[in-house]
Amino acid sequence: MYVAVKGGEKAIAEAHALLAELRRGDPDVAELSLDQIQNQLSLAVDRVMNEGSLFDTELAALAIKQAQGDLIEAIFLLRAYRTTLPRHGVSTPIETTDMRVLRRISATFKDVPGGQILGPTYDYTHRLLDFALAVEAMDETDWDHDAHHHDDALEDQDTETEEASPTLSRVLSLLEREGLVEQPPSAVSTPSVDLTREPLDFPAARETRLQALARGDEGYLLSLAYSTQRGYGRTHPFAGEIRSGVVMLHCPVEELGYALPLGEFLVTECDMINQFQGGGDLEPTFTRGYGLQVGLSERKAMSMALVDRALRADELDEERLSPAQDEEFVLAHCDNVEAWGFVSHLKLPHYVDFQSELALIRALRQAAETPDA
Amino acid sequence: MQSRFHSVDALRVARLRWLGTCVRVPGDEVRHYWEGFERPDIRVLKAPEVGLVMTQGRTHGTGSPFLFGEASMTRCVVGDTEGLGLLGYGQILGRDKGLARAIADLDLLAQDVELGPQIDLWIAAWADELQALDRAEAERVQATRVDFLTLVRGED
Repeated sequence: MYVAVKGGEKAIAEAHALLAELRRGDPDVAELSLDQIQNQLSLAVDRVMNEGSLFDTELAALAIKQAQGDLIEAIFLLRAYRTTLPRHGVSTPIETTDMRVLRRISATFKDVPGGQILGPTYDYTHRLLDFALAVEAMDETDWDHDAHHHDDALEDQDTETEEASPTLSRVLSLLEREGLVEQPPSAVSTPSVDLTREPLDFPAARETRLQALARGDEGYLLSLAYSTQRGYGRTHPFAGEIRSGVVMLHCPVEELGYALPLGEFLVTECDMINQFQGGGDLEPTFTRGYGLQVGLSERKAMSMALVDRALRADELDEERLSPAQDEEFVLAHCDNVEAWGFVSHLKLPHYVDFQSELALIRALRQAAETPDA
Repeated sequence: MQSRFHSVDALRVARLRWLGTCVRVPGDEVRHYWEGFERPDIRVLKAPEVGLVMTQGRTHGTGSPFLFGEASMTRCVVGDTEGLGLLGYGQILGRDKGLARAIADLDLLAQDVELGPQIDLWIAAWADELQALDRAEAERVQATRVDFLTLVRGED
C-alpha cells in the first residue's frame, strides 16, 4: 500500500529550475525552434504523434523540446494536453486508397500496377555516418524541395493538363478479386469502444485492438512482431503492400448533413499477407494483418500489422501458444504512458510501506533466533 | 448579400470544392488575401474554438472503420447580418483561430451573388498552384520508381 507524503515544495521548485537550465544547455549554442524540430526531426515528431495519439506536429515538436528529446516523456505531455481540449467530432474514415502517394512498395509482386515507388526511404542506404551532415552550413544549391518546386510550378502551369497525381490501386485488391486473400471485415454498424473514454475489455473487437495498437509503444510492438517471425506464433508474413502518402480528413457537420474537409495529413499503412487457411469446405485463402500510422512511421506500421495478425489467433482457430497471440498480455502492456507510469511510481517515497516490511523481516529473524522454549 | 445557389446540393458541391482548396493553402496566404478584402458585416455565431477530432481509419484501408487517434482542430461558424440564414463554416486541422475565422468568412461570402465570383478567382488560382505543386511532387516521387530484376540462379 502506498502512503502519501507531504512537503518538499522548495526542493522540488529548485530541482525543476535546475532541469530547465539543463534542458537549455549551453546558452552560447542556438536554441532549437519548433520549426526546426518539425522539419528536421520529423520522424521523432511522427512517433510522438502516434503514441501520444494526438496528431499536431507543432504540439509534438513542443513536447519533444520540453522533454529534451525523451520521446516517452513527450508522448506523456501530449496525452496530458489532449485532456484539456473538447472533442468537436469524429471524422469520416480516411480513404487511404485515394492518397497522394509518396511511397508504395510490395514485396509480393514485382510488377504491381503503378510500379514500386521507393519514395523517401532509409532502405538501401549503407548506414554509414555522413560527416557532411556534421557541417552546419548546407550548400545553398542543394535540393530545396519546396522552393524549387514552387518556382517551377508557377512557370509552367499550363504545360500539362493531366491529373497531377493519379491514385494507385491497392496491391491486395488483385488477390481479393480472385478470392485468394480474405476480404477485409465489412463496416460494422455499432461504433467500436473508444479507448480514450472506456477501459479496455477482453475479448476486444479487432477494431478496438487496432486503436490500442495504433497508440502502442513502437519498441514493444516491434519486439513482439519480431518474436512471431522467430517462431513464437508463426504467421509466415509477406509485406503485401506498404504505402505512405497524404490523405484529406473530413469531419461531418450535423446540421449540414455532410462532412467538410479539414485538411491533409501524412499516413503510412501496411497490409501484410500471411499464411493461408483452408481445409474441409474452405478453399485455401491467405490471411492478413493491418497497420496504420501517421507520418512516415513504417517500422511501427509493419510491427502493428504483424501483431494485429498474431492477435487474430482465436478468430482463425489457431492455437494460442505465444506471447504475441495473447490479447490480454499484448494490449494491456502496449501503452508506454501506462507502463512508464506504473514503473515510475516506484520512485515515489514508499517509506511507510517499506518500514512495515522491514519490521516484519526483523520479527521473523528474531523469532528464528529465539526458538520457543 | 444574396445566395447564388438555388439548391442545397449545388451549394454542397461548390462548397466542397472551395473548402477542399482553402484547407490545403498555407494559412498565411489565405490570411494575406483575406486581410486585403473589403467585406460586409458578418455575424459570428460560433467563435473559433480549438478542440479535437477523433480520426478513423479502415481495416486494410477499405474495411470496417476503427478509431485511429485524435487530431487538433479549430472550428468557427459565421452568418449573414441580414437574416438570410446563410452560414459560413471554418473547420481546419490545427489550432489557428484566425485562419478558421478567415475560412468561415470566405465560405459565407463565396455564396454571395456579387462577392462569390471574385472569391472563385482566388480559389481557381490556388487550385492551379496546388495542382502544379502536386505534379512537381509526383514527378519527384516517380523518379524513385524502381524496377527490380529477379535473377536466375546457377543451379538447375
